[in-house]
Amino acid sequence: MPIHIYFLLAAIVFFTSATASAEVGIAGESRTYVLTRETADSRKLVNVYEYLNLSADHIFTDETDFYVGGWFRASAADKDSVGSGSSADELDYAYLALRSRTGNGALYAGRVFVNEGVMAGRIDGVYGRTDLVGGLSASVFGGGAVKSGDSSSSGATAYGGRLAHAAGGLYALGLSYLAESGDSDAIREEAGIDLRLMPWSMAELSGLSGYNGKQSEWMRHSWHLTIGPYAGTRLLADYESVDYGAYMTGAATGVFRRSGGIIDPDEKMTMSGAAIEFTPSDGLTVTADYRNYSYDIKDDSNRYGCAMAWIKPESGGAGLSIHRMDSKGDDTGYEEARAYAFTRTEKATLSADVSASRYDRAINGVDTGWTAAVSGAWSAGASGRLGASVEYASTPDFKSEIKGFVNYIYRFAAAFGGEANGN
Amino acid sequence: MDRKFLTSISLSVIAILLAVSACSNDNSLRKSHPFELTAPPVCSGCHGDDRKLAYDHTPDFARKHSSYAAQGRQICTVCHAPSFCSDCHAGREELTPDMKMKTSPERFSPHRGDYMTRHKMDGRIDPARCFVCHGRANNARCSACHK
Repeated sequence: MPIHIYFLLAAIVFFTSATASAEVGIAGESRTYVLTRETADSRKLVNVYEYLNLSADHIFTDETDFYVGGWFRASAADKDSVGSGSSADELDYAYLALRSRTGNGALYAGRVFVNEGVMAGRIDGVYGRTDLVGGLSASVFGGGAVKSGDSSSSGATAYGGRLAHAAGGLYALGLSYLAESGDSDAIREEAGIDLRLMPWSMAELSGLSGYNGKQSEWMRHSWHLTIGPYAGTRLLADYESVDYGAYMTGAATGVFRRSGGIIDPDEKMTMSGAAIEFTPSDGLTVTADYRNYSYDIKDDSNRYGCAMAWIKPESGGAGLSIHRMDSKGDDTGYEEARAYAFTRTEKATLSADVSASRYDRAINGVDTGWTAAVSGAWSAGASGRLGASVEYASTPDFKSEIKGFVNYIYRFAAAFGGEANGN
Repeated sequence: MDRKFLTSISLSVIAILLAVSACSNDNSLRKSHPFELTAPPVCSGCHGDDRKLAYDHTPDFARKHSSYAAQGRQICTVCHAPSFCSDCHAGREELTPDMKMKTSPERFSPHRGDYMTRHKMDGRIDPARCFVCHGRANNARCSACHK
């Protein structure tokens, strides 16, 4: 269904509810982006994007809300930057939310993003959750799986849920299940276990392990450990193990497919890494990090480097980082360095961002690339903000490329018999 | 299985869950925070218990935010509108997050700089990180080259 039909339906819901209830609040945000750039074959592109998000509180009842958001793009050139036509649109979400006053119960109906253990994707359907007794909670979802490049469902059906138990501040443990099936057979059948464990306030272990039920193999383990801060120092450790063939199922892009793609489905990757983060004073962070990538087939890679950032979110900051990806045998090694600075007031923000890369193997005869961007944003009236950015790049693909970016963000709210909630 | 049947089953189970929820003696979390927070929020500044301490947006929060989102959607939505998530986790997106956050260079974004070149290497080093966002959705830009 075209995106404007969804917004038309949303408008009908909003105004119907506004007349039926005395306390409806409608809020929204309009973001208009204009992007100009030049392609490798010297064509100039101008793309205009409009992102519109709307929400309505207290629809029909105090605990019922409606959310809708999406974008539309028109290209003032023959072809747009991604080669998919002179216009494009997408409905990101559109759902009715019904919340319970007790037990954190909620029902979402419509196009909604579901993030429950092994499920992280959008469905056109229903999704609900609640707390149960004794620290237990449960969630259930079901509907059509929303796939890329299509505003409608793909035809696949996705359903599943998650059962979790939390014990105060000590842990939250979840078991999740997802099944996705097409017209005739199962596309995905996955189960997962997720955990956040906080044995004491200065230590936290979090992550997810997913199991591919169709192939009867563990597909991905992704875990993070954080210890500290002690004397301004935190230790961060990451572990990830991926079975490519088990994990990358149901791929919509050729590069990930089992046959014909460039990813070997028999490959298994294990990443282990650690970082030390030191905060000598408020806002200043110095980090040193190391990651090892180990494979069953490919040679190992190591990524290491350091970063320093001084950040005062409301007034400004600066950062500097340098990293090396050290790879053997397959030309995936590179070095990268980045420096940025920004200053921010209530009325305006100015920023500059420079990055440079050096590649172990020359691409198109070029082994370096760098970009520099200068950006600014200013308040425009009580509810608007105007921004602009210019980015210059010299890379293996573009000897010289200039991108221009202008945006205008406008927030609005209206209340019918009560105050609008602008969240 | 038939989609309408599965949706009906899901709806029935959710109705039971909501009925259970309505019988609870514990109040739900507020729909929105009583006042707007400045970024990055330090939840533990006001909420002292350990569980909320974990939601402090420390410098490494982006690295593990998926765990929190998967376990506590109802906590995230107290402050974040749905568009906050969909700006990055979209089904289809042509503007990378860093383009929308040009004036916030301090925020994490994997596509900064010469990523057009670098993705050819990162994609071989750890394709699972690409697959999370671009495997089954949000791959219009990928499929322009990777048919």
